[in-house]
Amino acid sequence: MWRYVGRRLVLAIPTLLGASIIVFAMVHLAPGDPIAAVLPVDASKEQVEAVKKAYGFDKPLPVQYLKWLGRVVTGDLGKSIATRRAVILDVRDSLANSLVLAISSSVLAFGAGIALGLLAAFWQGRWLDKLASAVAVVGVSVPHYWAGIILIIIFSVQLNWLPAMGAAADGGIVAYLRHMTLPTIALALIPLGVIARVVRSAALDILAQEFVLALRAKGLGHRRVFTHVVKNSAPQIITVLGLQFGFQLGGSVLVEAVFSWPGTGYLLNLAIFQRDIPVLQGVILVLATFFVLLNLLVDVLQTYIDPRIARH
Amino acid sequence: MFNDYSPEACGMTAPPGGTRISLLRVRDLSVEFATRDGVVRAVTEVSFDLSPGQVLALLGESGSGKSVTLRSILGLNPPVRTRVSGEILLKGEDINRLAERARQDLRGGVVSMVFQEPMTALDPVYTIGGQIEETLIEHRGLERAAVHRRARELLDLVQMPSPERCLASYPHEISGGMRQRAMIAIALACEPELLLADEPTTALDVTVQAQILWLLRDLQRRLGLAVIFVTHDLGVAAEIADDAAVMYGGRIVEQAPIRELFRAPAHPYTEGLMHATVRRRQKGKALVPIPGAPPNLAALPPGCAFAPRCPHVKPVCIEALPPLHVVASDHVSRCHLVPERLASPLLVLNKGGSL
Ligand SMILES: Nc1ncnc2c1ncn2[C@@H]1O[C@H](COP(=O)(O)OP(=O)(O)OP(=O)(O)O)[C@@H](O)[C@H]1O
Ligand SMILES: [Mg+2]
Repeated sequence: MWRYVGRRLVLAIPTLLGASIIVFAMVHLAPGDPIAAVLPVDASKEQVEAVKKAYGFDKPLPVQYLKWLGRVVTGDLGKSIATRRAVILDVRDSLANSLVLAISSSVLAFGAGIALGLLAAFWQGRWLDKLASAVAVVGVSVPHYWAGIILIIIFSVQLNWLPAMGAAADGGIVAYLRHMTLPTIALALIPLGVIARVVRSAALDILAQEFVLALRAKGLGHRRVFTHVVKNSAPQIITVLGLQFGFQLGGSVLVEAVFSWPGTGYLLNLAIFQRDIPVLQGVILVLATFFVLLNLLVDVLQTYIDPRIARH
Repeated sequence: MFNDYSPEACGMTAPPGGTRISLLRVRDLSVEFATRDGVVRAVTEVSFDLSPGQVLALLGESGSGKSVTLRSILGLNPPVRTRVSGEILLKGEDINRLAERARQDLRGGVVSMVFQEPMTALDPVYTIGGQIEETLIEHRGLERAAVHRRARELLDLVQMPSPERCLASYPHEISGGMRQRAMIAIALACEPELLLADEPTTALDVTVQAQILWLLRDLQRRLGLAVIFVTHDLGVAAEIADDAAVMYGGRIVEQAPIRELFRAPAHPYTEGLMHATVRRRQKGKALVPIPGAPPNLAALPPGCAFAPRCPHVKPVCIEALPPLHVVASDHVSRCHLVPERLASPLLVLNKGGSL
């Protein structure tokens, strides 16, 4: 088990290096002078010198990359062109906000999606299954930014129940929760639909297997049979949960824009429009790292649940 | 035993000659599945009795309804698009009328099942020990230590090699024969009186087949189990069974004590089965497969389902469903030709030829 985890950790390193190379290359792919790409137009001479030194623009590219990587590993992602704040601070704050939304929407989507999927599978072909499938189809087919706009129209504009914009970071916990509600729902819709469908088909696969008949034949009650089915479909379910959580972390550009939620998506959006390359680099690098670690966690969890997987 | 099909016998009166009490009494069991291709009549008007300790072999080719019959005894047909009719009395209680809770108590407690392919019939992500123990916990509510001790005893009962290690193993970690032993241990965990064995040796290596068969026969005798043993193999049936029922197209077409069936098969399909099987003392003889294909259960003919493949077919066979003819006491056959062939010396010759 631990050897497997160690091996997977080692295997994650090349992936992360690959991501870092792409991020590093962005500086050179951006049109114009690479120094101009990472510095504001009105940068002072000292700043230019500092950047030159840090990146070593006079040195060959591999050396530049290693220098830059050395700084990144210690948490120095450079300064934002727009705000001149350290990128790491911007990334940290926005990541915290996005993480909050990612977690809240994932909890909602995972809970509702798994419940819907399992109910649909156990009542296959009956009205509950049809209802759950309808909900799932709506979930995956409605664009989430559109759903966000509809939610704003209904709950903020018409009913005036919930705020539509921002995060109210200083307004206390209740205000924060109220601001979270609508973006959470908007973000939960797609993963809810995806998860419900995957869980349903995974559970149906298991339910069709002979051992389920054998479990019933030995007199197990519904609850025990249900536990067996859930445990058997767990590896498949965890895979989709991990993927969906990753998407939740990075895939909220549009929803964060609709709700002006100061997360990574919002920051990414700003950075793109302001051509703020250092911020762009920082956000992408951090998100990529998150994705890799998440995949690792999923794989490890799977081997923990299904002893057959570790053998292959 | 098998000849009490008169309405009186099927009613409330005791079966003739019957101090033997029925453990299982199946009456007019029919199972239909609504499918895209129409209504599949998997089992039609099946009736039989089983007394404690009796072993019945259920014979018949693929798709004749053997597994569906067993599943019906457990009350485990799919809940939707299925129609089950008739009575299945297990120790006097009709499984089709019982509440789900009471059925769960019967399953595993009074009747259990052993499956053909132990790899797919065991849960791959639970240990063997876990799967035995949960059965005990469900039915007996024993405490941990007692459950573990009993699980160990059960593995000894099925003569499992290295039982202690096996308890902690997952199904994929042990051999096919050991898996089938584990399956049997699970089935016997709560001391059932009736064991349903659905081709329990078919998926195993030939040498292992024999071991499992001997184990089952030994356990059956020691524990006084009643067994319904589904098999394609007449040789296996002869080894283990007291009586045999031959199914064709969802119906039982012939029922007799197993020796009687071998000595004097009274249905052309049974004769065909025997020609198609290698038997102990005549290995050299060529096998004669039954020509033609099994019937389409979604479009059964009005007459005898075997008529299209029957070498002795008469016009009446195509027009009318044959009644159940009594060939001898305990021996019935659903064939129009029974009276005629019984009376004719040809049948005697034929019998000699088929043995
Ligand atoms: N749930 C179901 N829905 C539709 N048809 C079914 C269902 N279960 C069984 N059948 C059909 O019923 C018929 C009898 O099946 P059954 O499994 O009892 O055959 P069998 O005698 O056990 O054959 P085998 O020797 O291959 O195991 C088959 O034609 C099968 O396709
Ligand atoms: Mg079968």
